Amino acid sequence: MTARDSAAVVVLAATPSTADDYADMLRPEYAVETAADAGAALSLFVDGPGEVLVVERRLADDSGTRVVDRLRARQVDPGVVLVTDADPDLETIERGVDEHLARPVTAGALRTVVAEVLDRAAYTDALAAYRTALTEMGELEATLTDAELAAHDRYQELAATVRDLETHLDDDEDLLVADAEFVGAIREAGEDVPADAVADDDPGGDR
Amino acid sequence: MTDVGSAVESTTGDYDLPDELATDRDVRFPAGSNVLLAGPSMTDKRRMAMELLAHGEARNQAVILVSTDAPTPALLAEFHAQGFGPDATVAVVDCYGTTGVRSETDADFVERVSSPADLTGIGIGLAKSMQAVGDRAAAGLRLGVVSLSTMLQYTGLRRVFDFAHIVGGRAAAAGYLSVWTLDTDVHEPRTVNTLKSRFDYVVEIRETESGRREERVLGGPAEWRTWEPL
Repeated sequence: MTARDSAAVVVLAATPSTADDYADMLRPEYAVETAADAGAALSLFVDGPGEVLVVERRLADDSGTRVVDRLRARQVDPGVVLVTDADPDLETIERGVDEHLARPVTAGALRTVVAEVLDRAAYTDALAAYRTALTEMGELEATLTDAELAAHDRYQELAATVRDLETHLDDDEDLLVADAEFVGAIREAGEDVPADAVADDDPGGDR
Repeated sequence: MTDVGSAVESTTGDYDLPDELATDRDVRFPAGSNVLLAGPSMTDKRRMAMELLAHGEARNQAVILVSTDAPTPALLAEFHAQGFGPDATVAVVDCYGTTGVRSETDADFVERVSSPADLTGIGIGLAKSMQAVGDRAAAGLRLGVVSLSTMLQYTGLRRVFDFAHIVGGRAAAAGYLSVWTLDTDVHEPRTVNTLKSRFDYVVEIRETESGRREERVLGGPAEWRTWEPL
């Protein structure tokens, strides 16, 4: 997870002018790229820096949900915002949509949902780092005595990381009450993140 | 926030225990607690979990059950054996492939998930169950996952740990009681220890050489570290 302030957002819309509108709404906070078609969007995630996809449900000759299917089929797991006129439902969340955004899209609403998607990604990164640190602590506990652990620098460092992450995760628990956040977080379960990767971040901080 | 239906607002209050689990102590789990029943296979943890879940009926609390290692009708029968009446609210996420369970007669809501490995599907099932239960969780909701061991066999520690944390986190945020079971003798000790560390309470169950079952409770204000006969 890179810093959310400069996160790479890819925009795929039915028309180039709509894509440009959305891109303008997200600049300069995010590094935005507009994709000409689904293939270009996919390659920005497979080979490129993409972290969040903003995609319209109805595209010129494709559908936003099919693009999401193709992303997930390639094991690429960016945050996804679906712009749609339809009511949000659990089925599209199941297919990999993190947030729904109703038209007409306003700059404020678009920035808010992109921030929420990045908060969720920060939450799951923190959770993975927490798990990694606990596992490493358990391995040390299995081989060292209490006295040895007390004097063990790495162990003490991990313990501090765990305490820190526990606080952040508890603080952000409330976001799981929303179904989209809850299911999206479970979909990302099991990521491999080093214990120290997000120790200094504030996952989901200033919502 | 584009919120696709949420659980009811946080419930207040706490969750009392059946006599067997409480032994003779006056202990309750505070709202939002995550409780793990951990012990070797065949120590009756599943029945104890069912008792703990069904125990809320007297207080008009609802139940959501995730079944991964036993047929739903058998689990529901265990509920009813605890005096869990037909008017009590229960929703089921069935990962066992049970056939013949009908939403109308056997439970208020049934969602089928193809495999215990489909954690996203189980998450969807839980979200739908919480929607289905709705206001009937106003007096509290007890959420049971029986068992973590089956999930571990299908998917492994990393995903199961995160799943337990996320589901436990939602239960905590909403003021529910979540109840989980784990067979401690079929996994690596490190796996067991890593999982245990994320629960507010760990109820440990063991069987002595003379065949007597004992328990102790680790964590929280209810903690007692000495083994007590069950």
